[in-house]
Amino acid sequence: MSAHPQYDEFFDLYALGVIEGVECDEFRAHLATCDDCARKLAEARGRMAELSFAMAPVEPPAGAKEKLLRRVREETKQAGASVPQVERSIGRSWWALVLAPVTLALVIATVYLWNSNNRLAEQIRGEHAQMQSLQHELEEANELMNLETAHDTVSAKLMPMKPEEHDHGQVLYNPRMGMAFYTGTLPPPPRNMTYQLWLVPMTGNPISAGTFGEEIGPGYHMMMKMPPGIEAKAFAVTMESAGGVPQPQGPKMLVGPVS
Amino acid sequence: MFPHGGPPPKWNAFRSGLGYKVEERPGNRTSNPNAFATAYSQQSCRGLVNSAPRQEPASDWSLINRMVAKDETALATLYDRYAGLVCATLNRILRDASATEEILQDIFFQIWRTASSFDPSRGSLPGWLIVAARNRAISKLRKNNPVTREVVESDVVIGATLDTDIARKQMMQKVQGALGGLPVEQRKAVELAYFEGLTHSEIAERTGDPLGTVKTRLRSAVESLKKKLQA
Repeated sequence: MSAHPQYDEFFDLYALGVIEGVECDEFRAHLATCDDCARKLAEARGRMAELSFAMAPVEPPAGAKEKLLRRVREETKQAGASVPQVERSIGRSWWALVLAPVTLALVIATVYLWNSNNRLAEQIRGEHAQMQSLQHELEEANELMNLETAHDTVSAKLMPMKPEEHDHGQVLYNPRMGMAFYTGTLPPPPRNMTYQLWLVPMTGNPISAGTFGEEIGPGYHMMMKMPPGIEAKAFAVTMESAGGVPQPQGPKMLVGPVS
Repeated sequence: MFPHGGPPPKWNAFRSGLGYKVEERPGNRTSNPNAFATAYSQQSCRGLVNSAPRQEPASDWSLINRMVAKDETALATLYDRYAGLVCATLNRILRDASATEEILQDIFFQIWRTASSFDPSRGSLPGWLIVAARNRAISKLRKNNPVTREVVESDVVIGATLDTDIARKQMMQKVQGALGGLPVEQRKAVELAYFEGLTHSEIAERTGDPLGTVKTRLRSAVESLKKKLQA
């Protein structure tokens, strides 16, 4: 589809040279600003030029070729005479002597700058990632500080179900803020299993506060967001299938009442 | 920059003669449907087909590259290839052997001097040669005419590669077929425009036909030629 269909009929007629007057002026003005139409005109010029092929070639005037070649030789000779060969040779070698080391220096400088640029870009990327990590930690620390210092925050000390086990944990919970902070010593769960933290409300079924496990390590802690306004009676950690479950099904790992 | 002040000529990629294979297609075997085509086809094809042993010809672009390196034999080859075509155009317009030779010399000398400025991605050499020859001839023809005409040598794209004798012969047959297929009045209008450089109103004045009729004829003619030449 042509971008300027109003000119579709113009190209070949313009190339043929029959368009005149205002139409010609307008079309010419448009061509100066439209690459697409300029390209179409080039094709139209080609089509019109092909009309010359309708005629059989005509033998050029006798001696015309020789005259042309003589003219070319004279022109070449004059061009050569204006700059003596020896001088040109010296000129070329002098320039080569100067330009070679300059070019080499430029290449070395370019490579050095390119490498420096790459190193700096890598450093910036690393520092940006570190900054984001620090920002995240800062936000978490702020949230924890708010949670710890709020007058209505409660805590639950989580203990193992079996006395011989030594893992333990702690939950800080603020029902107004809807935030729970867990920290504990549970080891990483088995493959395809996960830990799930449950809020046991005053009435009704336990409510999931979230899953954790894959990232467990020394000093592990986790901030979880929950719907606000739920009074907690206790907290518990169960082991569930990866992805978690709507209601606790697996074994209780840690349990503790809110104090 | 060219001596006449126009932009440097540019031509399209010559799909190099290397590996070029001409396919015989039914459309290329035009059977001269009327007198116009017959009249043209009765002329000699001398210069288009020769009986020399078949040899892969150098592409136009490779010849230009050699000319940049000041290889005169490349200019001679290019001259042998296209001088007949340029001469036919100049002769038909000027009907003056002396003026024809003058422009012929100028055009090929200009190619020699400005070979390094050619851009093969934006035009074709034979296309530029023809346009340059036609523009200069018409300009010369109208030297004493108060009507000023644009003589700009710029991008000229011919899709076909014309490096070989057989390709040029096929092009000749195709164009003869296209022109020969036009109604007489349309063909006459095209000839007045192309070979005499007349505009719509000048053709109307010359033929005595209404301007609207001339415009319609030419519009129909170029549409018909476009379809046949693009086929």
